[in-house]
Amino acid sequence: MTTLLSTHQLNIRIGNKQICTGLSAGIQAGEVWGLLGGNGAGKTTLLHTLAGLRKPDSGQILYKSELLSGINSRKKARMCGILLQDDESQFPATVMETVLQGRHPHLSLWQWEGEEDEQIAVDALIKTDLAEHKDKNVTQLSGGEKQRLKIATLLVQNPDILLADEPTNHLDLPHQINLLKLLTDRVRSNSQTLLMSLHDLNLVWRFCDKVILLYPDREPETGNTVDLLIPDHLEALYQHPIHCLDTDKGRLFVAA
Amino acid sequence: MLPICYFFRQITGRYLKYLITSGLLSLIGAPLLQADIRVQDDTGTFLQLSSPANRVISLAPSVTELIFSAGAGNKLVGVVTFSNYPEAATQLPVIGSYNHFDLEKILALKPDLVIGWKSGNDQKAIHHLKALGIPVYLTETRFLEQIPETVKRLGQLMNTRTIADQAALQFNNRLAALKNTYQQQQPVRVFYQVWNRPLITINQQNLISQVIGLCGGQNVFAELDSIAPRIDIEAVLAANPDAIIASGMDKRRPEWLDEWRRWPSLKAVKNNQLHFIPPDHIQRQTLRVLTGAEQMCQQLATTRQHLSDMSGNPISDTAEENR
Amino acid sequence: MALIAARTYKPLPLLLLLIASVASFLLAITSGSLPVSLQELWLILQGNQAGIAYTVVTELRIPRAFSAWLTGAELALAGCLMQVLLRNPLADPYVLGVSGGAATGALLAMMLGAGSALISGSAFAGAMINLMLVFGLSHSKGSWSPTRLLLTGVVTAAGWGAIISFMLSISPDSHLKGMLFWLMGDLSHAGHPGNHIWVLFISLIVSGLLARSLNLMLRGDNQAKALGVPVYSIQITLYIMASLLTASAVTQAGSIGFLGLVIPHILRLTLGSDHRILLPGSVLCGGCLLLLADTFARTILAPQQLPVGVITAFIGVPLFLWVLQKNNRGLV
Repeated sequence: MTTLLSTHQLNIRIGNKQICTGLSAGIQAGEVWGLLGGNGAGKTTLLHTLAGLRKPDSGQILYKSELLSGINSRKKARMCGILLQDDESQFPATVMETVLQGRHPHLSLWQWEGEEDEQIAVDALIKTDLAEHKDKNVTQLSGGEKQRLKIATLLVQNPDILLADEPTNHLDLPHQINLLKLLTDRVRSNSQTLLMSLHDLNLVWRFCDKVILLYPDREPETGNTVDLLIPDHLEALYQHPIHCLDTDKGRLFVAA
Repeated sequence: MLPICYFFRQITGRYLKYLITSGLLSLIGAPLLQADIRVQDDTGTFLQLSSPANRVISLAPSVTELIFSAGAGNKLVGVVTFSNYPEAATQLPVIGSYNHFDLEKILALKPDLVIGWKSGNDQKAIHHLKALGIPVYLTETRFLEQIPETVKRLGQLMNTRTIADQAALQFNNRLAALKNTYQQQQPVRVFYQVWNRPLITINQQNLISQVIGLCGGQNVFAELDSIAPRIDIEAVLAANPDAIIASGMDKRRPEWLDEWRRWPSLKAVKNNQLHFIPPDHIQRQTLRVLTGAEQMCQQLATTRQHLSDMSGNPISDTAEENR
Repeated sequence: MALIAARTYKPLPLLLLLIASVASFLLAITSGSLPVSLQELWLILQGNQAGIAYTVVTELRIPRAFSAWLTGAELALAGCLMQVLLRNPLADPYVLGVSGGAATGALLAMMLGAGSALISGSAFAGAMINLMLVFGLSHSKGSWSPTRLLLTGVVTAAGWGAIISFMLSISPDSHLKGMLFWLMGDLSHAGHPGNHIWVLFISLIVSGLLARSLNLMLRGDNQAKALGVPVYSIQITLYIMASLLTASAVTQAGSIGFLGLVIPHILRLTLGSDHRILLPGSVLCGGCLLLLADTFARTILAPQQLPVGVITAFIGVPLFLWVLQKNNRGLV
């Protein structure tokens, strides 16, 4: 089994706040990881750092066996993609144009998207339930549709390492389940990896093999979902008591 | 509003109305004391002074010149910048420029008369002066004949009538002489160039166009709507004038006048009829405009000479050729 | 699949714009105070040098038409690039003070009584000083962002504005006319475009190569980086290119407003937001519109000349509003 994404003694701080101390983890091909933490714990910052959007204060990040700092931007985008939380787009563009942008790292300077790229884009739109909106302007989409469009773009980019910052934002319950299923199935069958930050512990329980807990006051902890999603840890994580109920549908989590 | 130069200000106020006729006013006006001086200015406003003005401020270089012509230069206590003629004017205190003058300084000089320029001065400032109780006489010259008339009125206001009337008479005599000599001669087609960038000329409403006519010339752009129209080089090539006259900005012949030599097919270039008249002699509405007129008449006479030398049939050489 | 066929590339609008450019060029060189028929034009283009028409066409109209087209093309391209760089639909070529710097340079040269070549050189130098000043200031503590750049540029532009007003107020009347004229923007003395053509050519090639990255940059720095765009170096390239294009346009024709803001938007509304189409489209459309505007400016009231900026607004404002109304792509 190959390690697709690994960190060694990773330290990240924002201003004076240490948000990640000495994180060492290795995510294997085919694994789905959850990133948990309260508001302001630094989940987004950690994901951005892993995606190479910002530099860590110290420590190393490796994609497969290559140091992230040594990979050029185009190759990096072929290896790792990230679903961002914020959307800064102010200019008009159609859904199809936007989703095709995921092919950018796969095309050379002069190259135009070919039929194959378009097929990939159309597949992604169908899978994310957006095919009917393909000629719409992105600024006219609803919040949930925008979120699905971002997921579609990530699918089109098709990197081995997928990072997702709260992928279920704005999604209704069926779409949450369907899209997480889509992502995790794909990752598992293609031997890719997915690391996503989630707030819904029930979804974490259902989809993630392993988790990273970003505690507010101590070093992060990594381990199997089954081992770490227990009341003690969760209370320390969220500074709030969480009840865990084991049922025949799996473990359910309820905030006290 | 942007500051626009001297020349443009001179030509903007062309739609002045002479609102009040003197007949109407004499019916309304109360009987006057013999000592009062009562003069109508170019805006039609009557000005009444109980005694001749003794401390006068001029708000335009041309006004300064007219006051000196009227023999009242010694009554000036303040002038605006560029009041450079006659020499004595340069020694006088300056109260600002014609479009930005210092009201406080004017008040400090305690004038008993301010003489302004309707289309050049800031009208708000003029109203301000009037509101402060200072008598203001406004000039606005549209025709050559108005110039001596203004000199005479200034003479009345400052009690220098003998000199002023004499100067006006001389002007009228010179004007008549020029008219007699040149006005009926063979017409010469003239392009008067105010400036090169932008390329600006004048239409028939401009005083300079009258001077051209006085000299037996025809302003090729007389018919344009604007009083100082911006045109392009092509229009000049199409008009193909017999002479080009330019003034530029100072006493030197402007370099750009010779840029026309790029176009040897122009008749004015072919016959070397690129003439220069110092702007102070033609663009200022003062008695000196006749100096410029005399220069122009002589220049156009040489052009006329060239035209008749060149061909026995000068008619075919004019406008029709380029149609 | 039917879904795929619906996405089409659009060479046709570009072709139409190219034809429009050629047509406006023909219109420009056949219209003016001196009537020149197409037949005469044909003879002239074949080298028939007889008559004043030949000189008028070759020495006045062709260089002027060329300059007008080039200036319009440069402004539209600069506007388009500036909007991507600042990720702001309201950005235009002048927003970062390039024209202010150029105007300050030009006016300074005029105050010192320089000739026209020196005025152009000085305008260009002013634009370059602005380029370095704004770049340096917005960069001083390493935290570069479009917002910081925009703020620095806008404030610098305001500074130039104050210097220009100051120079105008202390200049003697004899220089004012030329200064105001320069500030209004005009093409009547633009002359042969010369090296300016290279500024446009190289910028178009470079920005064309970056076009797909530019599409991504409109979606935000992080999204662009995540998809493999070297955002920082492209931002610097864009900044330098847009500044050079603007400097070149301003040096040739003074500050002609409006085009750089509106052309990219008209095209975004009609051709979509793909910069591979948008960039050449802006070049053609900007060139075409300014050429037409300049032709109208010098012929509508011929021989009287109107300021070309007035005509660009007269053509551009209704055109833009019409496109905005008609726009059925629902893109704004």
